[in-house]
Amino acid sequence: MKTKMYMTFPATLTNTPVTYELIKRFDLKLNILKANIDFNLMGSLLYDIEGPSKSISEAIEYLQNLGLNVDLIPSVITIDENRCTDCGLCTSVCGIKALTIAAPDWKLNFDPAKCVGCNHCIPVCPSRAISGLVPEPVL
Amino acid sequence: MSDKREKRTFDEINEKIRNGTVVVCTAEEILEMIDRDGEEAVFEAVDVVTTATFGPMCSSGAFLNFGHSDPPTRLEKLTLNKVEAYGGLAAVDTYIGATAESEDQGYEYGGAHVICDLIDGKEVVLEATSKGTDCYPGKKVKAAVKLEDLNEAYLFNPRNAYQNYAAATNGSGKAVYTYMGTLLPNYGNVTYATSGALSPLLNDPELRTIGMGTRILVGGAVGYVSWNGTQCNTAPTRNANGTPIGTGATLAVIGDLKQMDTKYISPAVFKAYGTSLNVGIGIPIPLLDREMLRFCAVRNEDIETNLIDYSVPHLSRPTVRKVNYAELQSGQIEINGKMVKTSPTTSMRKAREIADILKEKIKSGSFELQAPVKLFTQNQGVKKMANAEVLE
Ligand code: SF4
Ligand code: SF4
Repeated sequence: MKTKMYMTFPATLTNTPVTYELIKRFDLKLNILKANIDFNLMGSLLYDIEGPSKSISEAIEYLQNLGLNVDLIPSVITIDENRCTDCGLCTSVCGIKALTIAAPDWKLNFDPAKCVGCNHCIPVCPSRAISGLVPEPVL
Repeated sequence: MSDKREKRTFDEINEKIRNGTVVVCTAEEILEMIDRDGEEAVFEAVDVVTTATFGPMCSSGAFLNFGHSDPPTRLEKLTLNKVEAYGGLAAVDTYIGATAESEDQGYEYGGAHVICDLIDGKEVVLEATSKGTDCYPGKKVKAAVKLEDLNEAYLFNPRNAYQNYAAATNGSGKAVYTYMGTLLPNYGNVTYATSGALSPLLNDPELRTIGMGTRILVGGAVGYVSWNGTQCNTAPTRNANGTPIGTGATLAVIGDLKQMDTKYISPAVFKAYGTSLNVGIGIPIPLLDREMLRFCAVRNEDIETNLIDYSVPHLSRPTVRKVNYAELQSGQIEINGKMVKTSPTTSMRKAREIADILKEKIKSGSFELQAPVKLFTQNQGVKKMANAEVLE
């Protein structure tokens, strides 16, 4: 199973090496897409995560017991189809090609598995049709 | 052969629309038909070609009339949902421009949003002040109005439907934010406008059938071409096919807000640039003679434009290369030996939808063609601002 996992943790756990634990204890393949610690030392991490469903469930339980908020998310961005005009402009900033548009149908195509949650497409969409589940770091 | 058709007139076409025998196809469909049946047979058979586009058109706005308050108040300074509208007309007339930005939300909510909120039947707050006169004693007025409350509300766009448009890229070391989208550094991407072979003025490159009075679809409603557009360039550089390279002619269009649908007109927001309005426009082109068929047979590979480096802060920006729409629509083009991704800013999906709607309207007899009451002056270029000194 391959999915995305998003977690937020309180300041008290900012120093816990969760990534290390996830790899060592549960033998999961992890790719960190986004890591952030804000001014209050609240942290968040977004992973691409791969492994047997059972290990993933166990890992989630382990993290929750530690006091983290954990969510498996199928997609980091959502596109409001009622707002989207299929203009295609968002595809111009999606370097990973998770967003594509092409002949013959010229409809926007989004591949959530490829999306790395960089959020570049969000401000580019002229119709404000894209929203992100993972907030940007507040600077 | 003597029974071969050489010409057809607007009147003949309208007669066929009325008796249900008119043959209509879109500017994309006609290309397949020509491939299949040849130009001769297509000219015999087809009366009208429908064209369309849907994209951001900044030079857009609407005239509104609110009716009078009691006591009457002249709207000298006014806002609609905190977006400034023009107060220099008669007492309760105004013009709201699509790119005006709101006092509280900036370009995230602008004139385009006000116009589309009205079309959607939402309540919009009018706030106005006046110095007060004998005939208009009111000095301050506030009203919550809906489209149905207004006497007149019509879109009047001074410049729409650009014939062709330069494609955009960025040769500098940092991102550039434009109405062509975010352009990534070091030729990181390319964006382009127009619906190519489906685009209205590319199918009538010399404006032989489109002129003042032409009946069109605008924002999903029946509207009209009211004048040539501003900065209308009818003396562009043309390729062998007669197709303008880069920008060309433009149209001023008019249409009733009360008949529009936000599926075909919607606000657009460009990061670090501002508000604009996506306008959907559909224009029928009658195949009056074989020349018109030849024009409507234009293909994406025959339509060329200049790829411009938008990072250069001058009116005349360097052309990186010439490129055709088949290349642009392929998804990537070569710049200096490197393949670069291309993305549209015009919605082909919506443009097609509009061309299809127009086709069905004509076929069903609910949309007759209007011959232009005046054709636009040809061979006229565009002037720069005279005696200008940019002070800051
Ligand atoms: S968030 Fe980034 S990777 Fe995901 S679709 Fe948007 S631009 Fe592409
Ligand atoms: S930029 Fe927005 S409106 Fe355009 S295709 Fe992407 S999601 Fe749709």
